[in-house]
Amino acid sequence: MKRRTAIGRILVVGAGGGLLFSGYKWYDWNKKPDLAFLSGQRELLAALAETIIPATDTPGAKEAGVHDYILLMIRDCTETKVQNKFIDGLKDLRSYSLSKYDKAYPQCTASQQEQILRHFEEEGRPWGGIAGKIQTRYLGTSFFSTLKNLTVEGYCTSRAGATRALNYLAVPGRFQGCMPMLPGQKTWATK
Amino acid sequence: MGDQRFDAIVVGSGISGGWAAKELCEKGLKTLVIERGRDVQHVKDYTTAFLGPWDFPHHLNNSLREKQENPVQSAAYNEASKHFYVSDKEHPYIQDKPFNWIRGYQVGGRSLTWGRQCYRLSDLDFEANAKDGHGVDWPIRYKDIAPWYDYVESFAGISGKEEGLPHLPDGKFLPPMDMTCIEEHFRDKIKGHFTDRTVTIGRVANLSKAVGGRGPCQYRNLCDRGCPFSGYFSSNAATLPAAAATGNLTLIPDSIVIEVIYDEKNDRASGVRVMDAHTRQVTEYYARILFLNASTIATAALLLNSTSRRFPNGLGNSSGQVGHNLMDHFIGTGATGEHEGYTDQYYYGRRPTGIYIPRFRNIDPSTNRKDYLRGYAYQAVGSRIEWDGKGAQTPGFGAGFKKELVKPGPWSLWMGAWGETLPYFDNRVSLDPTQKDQWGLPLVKVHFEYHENEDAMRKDIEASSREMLSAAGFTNIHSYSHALPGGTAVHEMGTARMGKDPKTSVLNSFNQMHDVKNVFITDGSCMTSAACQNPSLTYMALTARACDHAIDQLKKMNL
Repeated sequence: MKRRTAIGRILVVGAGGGLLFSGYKWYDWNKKPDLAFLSGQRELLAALAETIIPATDTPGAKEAGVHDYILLMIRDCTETKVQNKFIDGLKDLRSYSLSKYDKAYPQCTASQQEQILRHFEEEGRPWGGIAGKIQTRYLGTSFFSTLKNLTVEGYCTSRAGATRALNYLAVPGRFQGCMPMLPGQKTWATK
Repeated sequence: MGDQRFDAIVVGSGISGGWAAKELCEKGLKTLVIERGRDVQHVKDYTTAFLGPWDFPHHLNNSLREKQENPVQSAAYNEASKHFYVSDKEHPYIQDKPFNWIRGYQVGGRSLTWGRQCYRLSDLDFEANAKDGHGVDWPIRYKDIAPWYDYVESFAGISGKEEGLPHLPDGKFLPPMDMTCIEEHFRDKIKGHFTDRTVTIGRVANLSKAVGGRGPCQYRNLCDRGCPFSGYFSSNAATLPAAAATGNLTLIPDSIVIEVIYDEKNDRASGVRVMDAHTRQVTEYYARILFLNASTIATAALLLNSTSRRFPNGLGNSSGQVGHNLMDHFIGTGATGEHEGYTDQYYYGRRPTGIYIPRFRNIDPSTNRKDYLRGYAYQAVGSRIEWDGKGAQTPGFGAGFKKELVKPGPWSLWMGAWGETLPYFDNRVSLDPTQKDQWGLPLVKVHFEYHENEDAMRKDIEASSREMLSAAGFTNIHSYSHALPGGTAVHEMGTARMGKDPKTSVLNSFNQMHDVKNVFITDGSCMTSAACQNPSLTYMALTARACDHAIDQLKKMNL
């Protein structure tokens, strides 16, 4: 924690003065994102999203088409820095999976996939407190956080996720301010 | 020429223009309503009203390209409502200091996308300028406008609860909407802890009961897409159809009013010069009376662009006040908290309003503040944290994560203040002397800044919101204060203010130009002070009142 706080302080100074911003890092974050590579990763993204939200008694992320949502969101709605972190993260994950299990992620067993994703979750965990806020602000959201956030968002706003895993009311017709929770009550899909 | 002559011309079809159209048509005047944007037919043109989030490419998110091309408007719209906002690229303006000018150029204007909160002003507001010396005195008091509030509320349909507060007068309300459990809890705790504060359900122009064949509200909370159930008040759903039903309405969309024509010989406005937005063809229309309802900034720009030998600085601008005293409410300060209780309770449906905490500062000697003048009101919402909050809060992934994600989380309450901004002469709209838009009209320039009074109020808002959440037993309380650019509340007001003295104001007590008696202005530009209440209801009431006066004056042959 102390180390992290210290790094946070350095980042503040660094971002302000530009002193510690090494030319390479700057280039790496702001380079033109490899979108051609990204568009070829549908299968990998589908497998990753499915690990985060698997099919249970309700559809999983794959059936909900979350991978296509992630592709579109990274391409159209994500700033360059985060795009690069995400695409670099996917590349790292591919190599990690091959070197560790000698298989591509989609071909790994469910438990191997969990191991892999847990590794990246740990690696991408933001620091605590103010240092974490600064970290996210200047370095962008980590690969894992972006993947998880977009999976949740894509799933809960998909037809399958909203109407089958959550509770979607197209036309409620009335508003009741206090309603006792029913057994197994699910969250409303929209506000 | 026969086709170009009317009894009345109304410039703009938004919330106040729609009311002018209805009142004038119903009183038998052949009325021309001129709208610069495209036609939007009620229901038929609400093309996104029934779509689910999955039907939009980015599930309602705006793309980066969208944000770059429309940096101002895109903050107000999403993929489902974008078609009711202008393109920043096509409709540029100059921001001297950052100012968000959010616009909807179409039939119905911003009445399609407004927040629908409706609160009356009171004598606390009408007397404020006279008491503390900022701006000029309002030429009216609450008793002058009260019957007109009654009148417009009865037609529009406002849901709300009577509270008997002198400084936030009750109206003609439809049944109030429910509070959620946490909001009821909050209301009761605040009542127990503070003698000066009331928590009430939002007063909102959504029909909790059908009114005149419209509604009732279906609790979808998708109002800004246009409502196929006519569940909320808009020009398109309510006033324009009423105007059309008289047979006296002519509505021309895609028509930009470029100037008001002043007839020096008869000392009156004879009509308007209008450019077709597509063909650029210019036509003149004439009428006995004119209502300008183009919206606060656009109306000021129109007056400034209407120069003549008599009015070299803009129509009716002998006071030099046109364009000045621009106000907006300031927002962006408040707090959130979570509550551990009521975990066995939820809600059904999507209520199109929040709750409201009327102003409680500087009401009387016991609530007087030394650090600032005037006050603020809170809007708030108490709901359970759902997937959009839980996703990031819940660690891990997999089946266990999914199970947690789809369950309602703890209750939370968000509260944010709408604060009164004083009328500052330097906050102004002007026309750029050289730069022009694609129609050859001078670009509008906005200069707007907040000052010490607003800054001091912000500090108190942070403190009082924390204090209230804490008193009501909330935990994990976070206050926030963002100095957002002016215009963010989309409550522009004040650029052609009402007043008693023609030397210091533009309009008289009936929204009639001091200088040009047959021109009436009843959009937000008429506001002498901002109060802290959402202002549209006041524009509606002032419009109906001004129309009544105009008809009376026409009958007496004074116009």
